[in-house]
Amino acid sequence: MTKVISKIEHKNVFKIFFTWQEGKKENWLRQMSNDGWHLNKVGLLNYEFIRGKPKDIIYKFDYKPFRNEKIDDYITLFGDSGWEYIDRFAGWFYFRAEAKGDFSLELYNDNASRIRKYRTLRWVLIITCGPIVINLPNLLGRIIRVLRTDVIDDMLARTLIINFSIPLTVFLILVLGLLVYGIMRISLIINRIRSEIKE
Amino acid sequence: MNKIKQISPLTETTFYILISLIEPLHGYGIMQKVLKLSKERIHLAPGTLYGALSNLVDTEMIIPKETQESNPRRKIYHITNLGKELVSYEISRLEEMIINGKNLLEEKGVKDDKSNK
Repeated sequence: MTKVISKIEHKNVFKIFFTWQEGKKENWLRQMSNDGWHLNKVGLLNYEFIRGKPKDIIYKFDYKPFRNEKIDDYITLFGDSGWEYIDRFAGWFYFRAEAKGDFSLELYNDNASRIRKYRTLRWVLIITCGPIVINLPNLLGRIIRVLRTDVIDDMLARTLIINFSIPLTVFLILVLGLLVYGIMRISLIINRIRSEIKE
Repeated sequence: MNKIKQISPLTETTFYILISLIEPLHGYGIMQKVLKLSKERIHLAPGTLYGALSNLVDTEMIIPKETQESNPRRKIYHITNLGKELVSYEISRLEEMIINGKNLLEEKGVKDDKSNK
């Protein structure tokens, strides 16, 4: 029996998925497994895979931004019911199970708890908007004030504004836009589940 | 009592989870017992079960306890006295529904059936 750890093939793939693109991400990971690349670790934008036999594996993600002490019980319960825990990142838990026809492979089979998952996610997105919304008027106000005054001796303030405040403001507005769009998409998902009306 | 009225009516799954805890069980044990009790009708997905358990713990209907058993990562859930009260409240509510439903169906339903023919 010889262990050849060095022969384990790893691969990192950088890919952007937004929170509302869960289905797209599931399909992509399933396809990767079918090609023999199984998810091993998850980062912000990168996914680490390990080479293995091609298998039809289903991936599902749960959102649980909770305290550490509860995690063992939670992960064990999923494991007991056939969902292997892979990794977690920013409140998202990654699970997988081999596709075997008969069982409906879902982490949730009632709509009330499915809605709860997306409500929690929406709530976190809304809270994230807070600091941006609070700081934006201040930043914008300062930019306008400095650009309006034609006093030339205040060059330092001007340079700071142009090189620092303006890019920062543009960046924050973009992030805010994405967050608001995300909140809208999550709300649509919640409404769609609600309209299915089942328990 | 107020708390019980607030929580009632329970969903079918929550009711089954609660009655399965008449003897303490861990998460997977609950899943299997509910499946058996309901004659394989109710298959609890882990996310659904975990959410229901968290709610029941939050409302103090059940309490999780650590175990020294084979796998210390599994918590064992125990039903509380309040939880038992909730179960009997639900049973009498459901009984009332059954009696009313049966009585009215027997009185009016049969008549309507005849008049339809």
